[in-house]
Amino acid sequence: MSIDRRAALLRHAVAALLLGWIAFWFVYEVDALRRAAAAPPNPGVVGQWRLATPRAEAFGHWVTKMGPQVPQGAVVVFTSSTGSTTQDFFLTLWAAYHLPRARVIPLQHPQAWKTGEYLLAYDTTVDETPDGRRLSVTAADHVGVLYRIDAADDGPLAP
Amino acid sequence: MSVLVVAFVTAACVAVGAGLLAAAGALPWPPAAAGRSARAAAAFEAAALAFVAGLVACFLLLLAFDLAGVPWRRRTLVPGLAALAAANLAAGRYRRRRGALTVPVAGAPPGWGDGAAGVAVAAVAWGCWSRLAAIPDFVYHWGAKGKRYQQAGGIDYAFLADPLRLTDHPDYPNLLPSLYAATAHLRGFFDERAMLLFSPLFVAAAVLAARGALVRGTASPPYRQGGTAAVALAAAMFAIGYRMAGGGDLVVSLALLSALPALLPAAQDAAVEGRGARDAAAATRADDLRLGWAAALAAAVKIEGVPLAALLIGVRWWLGGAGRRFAVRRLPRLALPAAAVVVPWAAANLVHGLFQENNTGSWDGERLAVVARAALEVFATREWHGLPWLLAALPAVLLVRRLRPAAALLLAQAGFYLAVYLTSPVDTEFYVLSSLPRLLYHLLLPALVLYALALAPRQSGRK
Repeated sequence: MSIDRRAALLRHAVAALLLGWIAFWFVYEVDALRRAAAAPPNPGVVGQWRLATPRAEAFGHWVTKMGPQVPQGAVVVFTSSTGSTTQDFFLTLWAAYHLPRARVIPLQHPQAWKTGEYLLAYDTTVDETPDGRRLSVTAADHVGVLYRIDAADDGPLAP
Repeated sequence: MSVLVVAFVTAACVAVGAGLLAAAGALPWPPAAAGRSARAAAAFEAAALAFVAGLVACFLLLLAFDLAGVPWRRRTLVPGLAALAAANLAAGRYRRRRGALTVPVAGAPPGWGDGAAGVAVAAVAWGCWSRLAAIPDFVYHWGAKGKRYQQAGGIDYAFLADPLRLTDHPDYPNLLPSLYAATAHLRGFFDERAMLLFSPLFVAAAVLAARGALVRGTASPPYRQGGTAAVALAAAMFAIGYRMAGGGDLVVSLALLSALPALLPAAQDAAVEGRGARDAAAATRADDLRLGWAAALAAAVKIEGVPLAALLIGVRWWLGGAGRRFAVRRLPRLALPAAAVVVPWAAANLVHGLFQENNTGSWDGERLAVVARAALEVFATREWHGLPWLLAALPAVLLVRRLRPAAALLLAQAGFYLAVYLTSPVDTEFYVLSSLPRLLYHLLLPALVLYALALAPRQSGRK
């Protein structure tokens, strides 16, 4: 067999191996998608949430349900029962996605109590603000509560 | 309805782009002698090129609406798109009567690789329909912006400049969120499925562009089919596994692959083989125009697409084709579409103060070790299944003269990514780990095309 012929055979073998490798892993990923479609993953870590996963869908439905109570452009402070800054940050991003009419920030944001007009509490309740402003319930269900944060000078009239 | 609205937007983009390319005499078409099946396959390739040009042209229409204070609503978008498509198609018809509709290109009949590519695109479409293949950034960034622009009836600079905003990348070019916002208006609401269904179209167009590069790079039929299949299967493998649907990286990859044929000098020879200098000049002009629109698409989607566009234009300008290298008169057709996208974007970013501090920084060589460690981790990304290691062979392609410009371009873009990692004042390891797997998608698919061309025996009768 000539050197040219051997080189050609080697080239064909490399190309065929590469194509076979890619095709194998393509089938593998499609099968993983099939399994995910049959039983969608349901990660507890919010950073791993994806569209069409049960927790993300339920959260989206809840935020969308609360949405009409929030005026266009209002600053909405978000908090939850997770107790984790990272989890709350990602939940806030999901809430902002489902509430495009509002400016959604996490409770940990330095401007939260200064600029917040509404407080969206997911799976938790809030009784008081750090600066003594009143919280009035705008909407509530078994998942969470939407509060209106009264302006600082809206407090009860002095006697 | 999700499918119908995406079909409408796609048809509008293809009509606008086909008209534009035809009017400029840059619509590729094989000669009648190529046979019916080859002509049918070439029609798909031409449609993919028209889609690229049409996406940019429709985005420019949206920008014009924005500048003129015309809100994006169904009542403004439908007549606007219809008028743009009609005007471009009329211009194309006018040019056809004058005999300048198309540039002859080599055609190739469909085969088993095209069938495999169809299966791959269908798999991506399934992932998008189920929404399970959606990228997390669709929620954090691309889709969130699309919803805001839909609400605002245009690009919402107040939102992008809002100091309370959490959404990332306020300084990115706006083609994709604008496409989503316009589609949402046509649909009546923000339909996630409709938005995600653009992704398989981007993959399909990218695969058709890769096929075009393989045909024009004169790969022999088995390598042409194998190369097409490899690009499509690899694109789908990663898009499904890593969940890339709805993000901008698929579009950057589409732009790069669409520009690839114009970076293959041999393609020029094949296209104008046996023809006179006039046809050679026409083919050069057509390649310049097609690359110009592809570069504009890259620049309209992601911030790293802007230097990519500059590189594409620079390499093509240097190549020259049948014309002179660095001829000034070629510059408008190469760079005008990209300039039309970049100038308004840069001006708006400057006016609204959107450029981010982490876009610039000083060179820090000490980051190199961190980048290398993180890159090794990324190369082992499960969803890539080892394919990034193929990029190690890219410098060897520089030895193949006809593939050298394209390989040099890919290496230069990789060098740009490395430079960003070495200069950005952010957590370097996190930056590499979170972005490099997606950036590899830009480089790997064109690299697969180059490998197929490098390995393939040249077809007889061609240089």
